[in-house]
Amino acid sequence: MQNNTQDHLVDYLMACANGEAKGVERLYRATSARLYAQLLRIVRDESAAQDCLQQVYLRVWQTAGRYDAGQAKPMTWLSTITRNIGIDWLRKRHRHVEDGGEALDMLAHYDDMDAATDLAHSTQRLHECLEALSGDQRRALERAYFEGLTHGELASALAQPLGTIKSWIRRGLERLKVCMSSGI
Amino acid sequence: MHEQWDLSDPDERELAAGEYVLGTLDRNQVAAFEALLAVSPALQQHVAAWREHLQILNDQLPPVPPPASLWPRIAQRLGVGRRPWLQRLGVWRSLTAGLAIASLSLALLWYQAPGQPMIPGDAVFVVLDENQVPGWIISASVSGELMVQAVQPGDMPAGMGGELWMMDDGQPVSLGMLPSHGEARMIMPQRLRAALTHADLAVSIEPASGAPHGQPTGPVIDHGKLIPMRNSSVQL
Repeated sequence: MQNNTQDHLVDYLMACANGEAKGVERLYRATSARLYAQLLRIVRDESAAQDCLQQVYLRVWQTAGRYDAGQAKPMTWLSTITRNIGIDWLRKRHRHVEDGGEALDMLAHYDDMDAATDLAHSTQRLHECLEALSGDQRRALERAYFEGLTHGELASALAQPLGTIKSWIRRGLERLKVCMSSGI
Repeated sequence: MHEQWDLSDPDERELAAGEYVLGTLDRNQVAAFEALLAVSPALQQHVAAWREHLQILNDQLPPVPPPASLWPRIAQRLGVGRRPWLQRLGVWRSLTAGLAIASLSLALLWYQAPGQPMIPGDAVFVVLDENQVPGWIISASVSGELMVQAVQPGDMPAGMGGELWMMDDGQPVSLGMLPSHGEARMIMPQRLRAALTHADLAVSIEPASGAPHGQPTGPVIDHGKLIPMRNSSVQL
């Protein structure tokens, strides 16, 4: 997202912190499509993603005063809240399944989502940094990030030894950091 | 479990911050990491930097506008809906309210511009925002010309504007960007003219240069159909 748009987001967050209805409405218009896409990727269910999106803007409305522009870009702050809410939903759902509820068909749409993801290289930098990752590294990072999986859970989900998973994650993180820090 | 995990080593600490943000540490590791995080501004900076680095995984996702019905629900929950009674009326009745406001807008235009031609065209679609405030009046003539009058388009993020879409066999086709003020004319593609009076129209918020790849990506401001004007020169 361009910097000038992010500056506007800071203004909208400040307006939210002041309790101005216009602020949250503008923030919603500017960011809801991106946060909704993120929730769809995490929870993989439209109705649940909409419930979660509602919680996201409620939390933003209540906590915008705690946003610190020196700590995080506004989109990163919003995405962090969104991810926490989405992964909380996944964990609750998981517990529900363990308690004998209906099974969650987690993998059914995985290939589709992967394909959609591949289409969306919105900036050159983003493209370069994702290309810097091997397929295994990228898959491991994405599944950990969007599905809230620990090293151990990832090893089971991807049917790989724990050591291999840890190495994919660490090398992936290192490459991402180098690319994002220097632009190489 | 994490044999080489040594938080006294600076490189190791930085990578652990990445794994912490990514969420792959187990419960004991999270506890150990957070104990250190609480007292280490340097580690807090690493965590903030990793959040920005990993934001790339979100940035790669194509935006998906949530359904237009979601915002009124959220506004109501937040207590920011300015006219909650309108939202409770349901879609059909708020459409009626919208038409009443549209009639009022037309009456005002009559009043403010005596001697000027009445809104030309044979059918009209008034684009209302979530507070039922008219953003644009779009009128269409049977010849395939659309005339757009900006009324009070809502505030947009910098570099964004309203884009008009027509559904053609289930696929959105862009009819162009709507003006932020004043008037604009648009010519309908020939092949779409026959469908104009019964097709679904929508307006979404898009980059001012037009939606990428010709597909809507932003939130939908309003959707509806052209309503034929009584006494129009041609019966649609």
